[in-house]
Amino acid sequence: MKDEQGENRRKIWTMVKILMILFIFSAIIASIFGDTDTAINYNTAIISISGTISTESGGGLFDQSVASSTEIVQLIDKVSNDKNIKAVIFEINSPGGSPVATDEISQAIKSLKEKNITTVAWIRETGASGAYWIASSTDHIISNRMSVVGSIGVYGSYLEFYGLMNKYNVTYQRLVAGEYKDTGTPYRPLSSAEEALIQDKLDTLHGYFIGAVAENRNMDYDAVKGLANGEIYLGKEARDNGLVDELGGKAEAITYIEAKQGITVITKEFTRKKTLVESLASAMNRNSYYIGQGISSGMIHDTGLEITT
Amino acid sequence: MTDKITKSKGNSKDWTDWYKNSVASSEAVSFWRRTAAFLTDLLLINIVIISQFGTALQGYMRNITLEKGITGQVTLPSGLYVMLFVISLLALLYFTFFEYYLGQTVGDMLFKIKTISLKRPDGKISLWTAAVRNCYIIPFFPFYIFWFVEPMHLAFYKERFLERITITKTVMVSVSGRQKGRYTDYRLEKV
Repeated sequence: MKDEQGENRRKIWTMVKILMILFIFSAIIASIFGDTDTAINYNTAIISISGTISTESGGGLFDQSVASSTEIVQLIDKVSNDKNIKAVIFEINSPGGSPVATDEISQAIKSLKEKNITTVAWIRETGASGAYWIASSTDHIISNRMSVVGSIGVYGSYLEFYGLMNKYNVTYQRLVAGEYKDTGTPYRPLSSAEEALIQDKLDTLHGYFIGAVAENRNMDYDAVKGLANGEIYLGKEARDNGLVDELGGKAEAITYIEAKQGITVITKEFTRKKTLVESLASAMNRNSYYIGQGISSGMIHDTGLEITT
Repeated sequence: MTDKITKSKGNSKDWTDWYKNSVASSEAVSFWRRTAAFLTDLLLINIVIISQFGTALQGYMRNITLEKGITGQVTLPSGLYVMLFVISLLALLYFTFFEYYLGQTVGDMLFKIKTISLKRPDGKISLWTAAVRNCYIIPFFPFYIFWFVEPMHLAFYKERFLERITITKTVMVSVSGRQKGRYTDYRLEKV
């Protein structure tokens, strides 16, 4: 019995010694690696705006297709309150999206100017429509010569199924209180009055868009209006017509910031961390989406414009 | 104290044959018991070793998302590979030291299993044997091949492949210290 107790004590003591040695050894080695977050002394934030701009959050893990204004504004607020930050690079790759979401992000970017934080828009493949509106809110816009920029316009087009329904003797029973309550429904044609109504709204939004770009880019309203027919411009064309400041990439953005702020740029990416539950849940949603997309892609030819090389 | 086999009855049998046969023929430890012990060890490794590297790992992982990793859009920094290698070596040391000095890891102790060598009379494992039988821990080529080989071998043969090649065995530990087996001619004592 005593032997067993002694043996047990020896075992426990050996166990403790081994664990302590490993613990100390690990601590020493870990300290050699140090904090590999090289952006301890960061002074420049990088915030990505990728995908369709919306007020809603995306599907999550695999959903790079939504740039949520809620999340981006939160990141901008975080950057704004970070005393280390002297500049922000917005890495933009978006075809645009919701006007409200666009304006939210634009206003948040402008608020950074009050804190003397330099903002640079770095347009990757696409910086069109709302994404360009956001880019114009920054101090300096950089794009690749082949980037798709511009598309200063608004659209509210939709598919209308009246003819198809009529063909199959499906009727739309209109029951509304308020003449324009069901304006835009796909089940009946637009009346001329409704069309004029919607067009008026679109024109108003277009005016806001043009005004914002003119103000942000310090350009004449009419000059911007002349460019704002919805046309897309390649990066070089955009630079020539004043919509973009410089052709280049991240290096040029850094050079601009260093010249403006008189600092050596050390960047740090600011992203929203997803929780494990969010990631797992959205992965399931996204997988379902891709399954459906895979099935449908075999049946539908994509006739949308796609510029490829 | 070490284990010593003494003859308790008159039958003259080569102790090595008895030892090998009794131990070799003893019932294999169940898969779930071994798995539970292993998971316990992993938990302890996480607390003792991996947690030290938490800050450093966070730094490397900051720009890496699961999507980027799966779609191959990210290049892992070389420092991360070095760190993972170092962590795996430390984990290997955990298993090696425990099996060499005690014949059991902490998880093994909790679930009353023990690793013994079938080559030595006292069943004690050498340092090299302990290291080789646990080399699957290292997550680099060629060791990660064992991540597939070991579970399949365990499922079919009730012992790991590395146990077979190192001539070691995982057995149950009796409370009295008496090795379980068919033969009772010999008794395992603490000396």
